[in-house]
This record gives sequence, C-alpha cells and structure tokens, in this order.
Amino acid sequence: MADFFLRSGRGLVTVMALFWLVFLVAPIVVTLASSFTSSTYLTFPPPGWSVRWYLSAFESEWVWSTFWNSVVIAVVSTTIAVALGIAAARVLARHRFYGRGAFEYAVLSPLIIPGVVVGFALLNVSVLIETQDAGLLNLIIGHTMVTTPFTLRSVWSSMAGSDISLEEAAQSLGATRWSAFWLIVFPLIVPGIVAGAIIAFTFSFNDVTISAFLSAREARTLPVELMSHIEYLPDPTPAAVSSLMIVITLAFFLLVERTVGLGVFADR
Amino acid sequence: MSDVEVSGVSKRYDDLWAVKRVSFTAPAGSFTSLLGPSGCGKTTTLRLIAGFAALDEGEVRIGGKPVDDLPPWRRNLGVVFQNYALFPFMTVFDNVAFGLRRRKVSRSETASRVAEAIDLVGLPDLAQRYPRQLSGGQQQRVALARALVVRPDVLLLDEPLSNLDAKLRAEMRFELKRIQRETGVTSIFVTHDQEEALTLSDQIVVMNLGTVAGAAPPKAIWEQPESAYVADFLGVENLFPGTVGDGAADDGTVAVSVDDGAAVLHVAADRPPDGTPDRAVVLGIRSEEIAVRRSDGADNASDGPNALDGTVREFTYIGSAVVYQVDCPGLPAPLIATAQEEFPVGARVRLHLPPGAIKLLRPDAPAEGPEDRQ
Ligand SMILES: Nc1ncnc2c1ncn2[C@@H]1O[C@H](COP(=O)(O)OP(=O)(O)OP(=O)(O)O)[C@@H](O)[C@H]1O
Ligand SMILES: [Mg+2]
Repeated sequence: MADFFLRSGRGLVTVMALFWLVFLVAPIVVTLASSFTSSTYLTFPPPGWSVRWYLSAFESEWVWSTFWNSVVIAVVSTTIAVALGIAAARVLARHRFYGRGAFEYAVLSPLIIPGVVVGFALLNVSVLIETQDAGLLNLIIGHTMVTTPFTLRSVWSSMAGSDISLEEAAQSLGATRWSAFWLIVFPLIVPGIVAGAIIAFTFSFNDVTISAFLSAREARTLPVELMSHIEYLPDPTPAAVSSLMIVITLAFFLLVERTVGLGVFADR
Repeated sequence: MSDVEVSGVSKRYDDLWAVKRVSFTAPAGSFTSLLGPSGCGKTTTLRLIAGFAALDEGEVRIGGKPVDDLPPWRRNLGVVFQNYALFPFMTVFDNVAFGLRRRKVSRSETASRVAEAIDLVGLPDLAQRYPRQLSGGQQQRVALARALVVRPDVLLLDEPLSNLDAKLRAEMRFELKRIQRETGVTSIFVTHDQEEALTLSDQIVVMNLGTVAGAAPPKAIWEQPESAYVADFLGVENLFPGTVGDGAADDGTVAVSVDDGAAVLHVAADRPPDGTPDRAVVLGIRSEEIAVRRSDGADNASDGPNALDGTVREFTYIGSAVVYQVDCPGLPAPLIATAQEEFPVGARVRLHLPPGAIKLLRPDAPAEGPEDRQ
C-alpha cells in the first residue's frame, strides 16, 4: 500500500514537473527567444537574431522613468514592510494579548483578499482623502500593505528558533533590551528577513493588479507601463523589457543569497 | 558576595498567582535550593529575582539594596537556564566573553578571564567550537562559565542538571558544588529533585502552589520536616493522619491513634507537634527505618511498641535492598518498608516502627488548596 502511494507519488511529481515546464518555463523561454528577433513584430521562432529591441528598450524614455519608479517603490516598500514585519512578528512571538487571533487575521488578510479588490479599495480611499494624485506615495503604501504579511510570516517563523531565554541570558549579562535584540535576536532572524524581503521586493517590482489602480499619470510602474505598451505597440520592445525584468529579478535573488543569505546559513 | 532577601513577593499571571507572598533569605556565599513540584512557582521566583518579570507585591533586595527598579542588565547576576540558552551563532569563546564585552572589559583582560572561567568549569580546549558541536554536559559548563565570568553577585540556576543523563547529572552535581565553593558566589538553585537539593544546598526552600512550605538546612529538613507536605516532597514514604493522645507514657512516648483508633502508634515525645490544632497530626516514617522480619504468629506485645503484623502485597528489588508494600490492619494505606531479606508476596511479616523514627508532622492548612491561588 505504502509502495503504491510512493509510486503514484513519484508519478505525480513527474506530471507536476511537466506541467511546470510546459506552462511556466516554456512561455518564458519563448519570450526570451523572441525578444532577440530581427523582425519588427513578435514571432516565434524568430526569423533572424538581433539585439535591436534591447537597444530600443534602453533608448526608450518610458522604460527608464518607470524603471526608476519601480525600483524606488520596491526598495522603499520592502524596507517598510520588513520593519513592520519585524515589529509585528515580535509582538506576536512574545506577547499574549486580547484579540491576538483577530490581529493575526487582520494582518494576514491581504494574502486572502484578491489584488483587484485591494487595489480598488485603496484607490477609493485615496480619492476619498484626495491623495489620488500622489501616485508614488499611494503605490508605496499599497505595496507595503500587501507585502507586510509576507515579511511578517517569514520573520515570525524564524523567530520561533530564538527562545526568549536567549534574550534574557543576554540581558542578565549586561545587554540592554535593545542591544540584546540587535546582538542576539536579529542575527537569528536574518534568514527570515532575507526571505521576506525577497518575496516583498519581487512582488512589488512585478505587481500589475494593485499598481494599475494606484498609478497616477506621472508615477507609473514598469510592469503597468509594459502592459499598456503590449496592448498598443506590436513591436518586440516589451518582450525585451520583460526579459530584462526576469534577469533583474533573478540577479536580485542571487545577490541577496550571496551577500546576506549564504553568509548567514554557513557555519551554523 | 551579596545576600538575597526575598520578602513577600507575589506575581500574578492572568487568573492565578504564580507566586504568592514568597519570603526567604539566601545568605551571602550560601547555596539555596528552591525545591517543589512542577508549576509551584520556582522559575517565576527566579525570574523575579533576575528582573525578567515585574513583581506585583513585595521586594527583592540584593546586598541589602532593593533592586526592583533595576532592569536585569544592571543587577549583576549570573543566570544558568534549563536549556542553557547559549548563543547558537557564537563560538564558546564569544559566548563566555559576551558579558565582559558588555562591560567594556579590555581585550587582553577578556581573553584571560574567559580562559580562567573555562578552566574553572573544567572545559577542555573548545573555545572555537560552536554550541551545537558540544555535548550536553559541555554546553552546561559553557553556560556556567558564561554566567560566572562576569563575577556576579548572585548566581541563579534553573534546573541546570535536568537535561543531563543520570551519570552526568551525578558528576555535574559534584562539579557544581566544587565551583560554588571555589567562587563562593551566592547561589539560588531551582530543582524538583530532592536529592539534588539535599546534596548541594546550605538551605532548602520547599515550595507548594506558589508559596513557601518550609525552609531549613538539608539535615534539619530531612530529620524534621516542617509539615506533611514537606515530608512528602522529601521522600517520606509513609504518611498517616493521626490524633495525639493525652500525656506521655512511662517510657517517654506519646500514643497517637491512627484512623480513629484502629491502630495506636507510640512516638518519642521529644518531638513536639507544634502548630497542630486539635491534636491532629500526620505521622511520617521513612521506609528504611521500618524493620521487617518474618512473623512467627506469636503475640506481638513482647516486641515492644509499634510492632505490626502484615501481609506482603508487592515488592520491588532495587539493587541495594527490597522495597515492600505491606498491608497492615488498622492502617489506611499499605506501609512501605525496605529490607535486605526477601519475602514472597502474601508472606506474613512483622514490622517494627521505632518510636524515635516516627515524625509527628503538622498537617497542611486546608487554605493552601489550589482555589486559593486564583
Ligand atoms: N508567562 C506566564 N504567563 C502565564 N502563566 C505563567 C507564566 N509563567 C508561569 N506561569 C504559570 O505560573 C505557575 C508557576 O510557573 P513556574 O514556571 O514558576 O513553575 P515551576 O515551579 O518553575 O515549574 P516547573 O518545575 O515545571 O518548571 C504555573 O502555573 C504557570 O503556568
Ligand atoms: Mg521551572
């Protein structure tokens, strides 16, 4: 019986791997390949190879301006989300209080509510308080709201490994509450912070749904701008930009892993 | 070295008093054990002394000074935790040096004091290892070194030996005693193991349901526990409620009736049952003080006082002796007695309870029930 499950389990894994290849990897490969086309329209396989659409992307003003918007929004909202995530995780990990369960749900709710609903709701609020033209600010707030649950989750689970007695030991040895946190707790939760930050950053950098609602005229994110270009421009520039975004996201992953991630996991 | 005075300290969590009006004094340089069953408030008491939790009532003084306004990092204490709480990403050296670095001790002095502390606790050269690379006993020693290196006024230990296996525990007990003697640090040690408390302590504070049930040096508490609860916790196996009769007999004993006179035991009268209202007492005797021999069926009056006939209900062999459960008519529960001789189940035996070995104990006040803790 166990054998049957083991066999069918293996079969299932194979099937899932195939699905993953067909539906996720294949489109990415197609996009990457067709971005190197020499033709003036998107086609696969490309009739010939060139980097002209990458040059076109680098020369486009809209790419640069929205790229910098996206970077600023992702960096700022990730930073805030990490800070909030640490604070909230600490409260949840250390204190029992009335309404704790409700707080848990509230803070995790953006994971449950669809992005369209969140975006629409935030837009309504910004119209209500007449900040709908402060696009950058709205985007930062919106992304922070949606990504904080991710950072909270991962920081919280990494805090499970840092027993309260570690902090108490540090305090009894002369560390103030604050330095006990920085010297003992922080190093232990860095993996959780890194994981949360990666998720928050990639979400923010790639999000379309929420950003579409909150982008004002002068503050649009790269993915939102990319969407409208794909709709209205048939040329392969957006494909080149998409490929670049994949590369940037991957590079970000690797950078974080190498600098903070691996250093922390090693020798533990 | 400083003494520690805990006076009338209480701490409430949600709907229960974790500790309630706990008072005791740990004299400077002494070793005091807090002994009691799980949940009786030992850890809470220690945490209040350390300042990890704020007390609701009472006062803690260390070296005569109230410390209630001082945060833990300004109390100059050493704490050894049950799980050791070593910093996992720091080497043994960095763990031990942590307190010195917080005190801005110079680099060279830190190095020499860390080496000294590691030497004191008998650790081999493991300074560059990480905690996870150490055995439980070694981690234990690192935790001790880390707490002692700062030369604390008081050393607090929360069941530090309970995670070790039996052999190591016995070994660390000697080590702890040696280290405490060499450093002379005032130590407060939490345990639920009466043997640990007896072997290590100058003073044992027995706790029950958040309160102090008795405090005395080991010998005193062993020979004359303050109450039935304390006796029970210190391993007095046989405890029976009884009523003291009038006056002393010619042989210097008093008669105590057990179970409304179903049996009468004579107890050496030089043990006054003070604080026992209505002459209600609890009789206590340790299993090894009861003599067991084969019953010849003859009248037991010739054997002097307290000779009881009984039937072996069950026995267990413990290596050095055999422990018997013996049913005796007139006693509410079987007597526990140890003997060298072996008797089968069902054997008729005669038990002799020396009048001098029976303790007259104060029954525990009914007010100490759990409902009082709400
Ligand atoms: N932070 C807390 N919040 C709520 N209740 C607590 C807290 N700490 C302790 N208690 C309660 O206070 C009582 C005493 O706990 P304490 O940890 O002091 O017992 P203990 O004697 O150390 O027991 P053990 O031998 O099991 O460690 C227990 O009933 C416990 O549930
Ligand atoms: Mg405890």
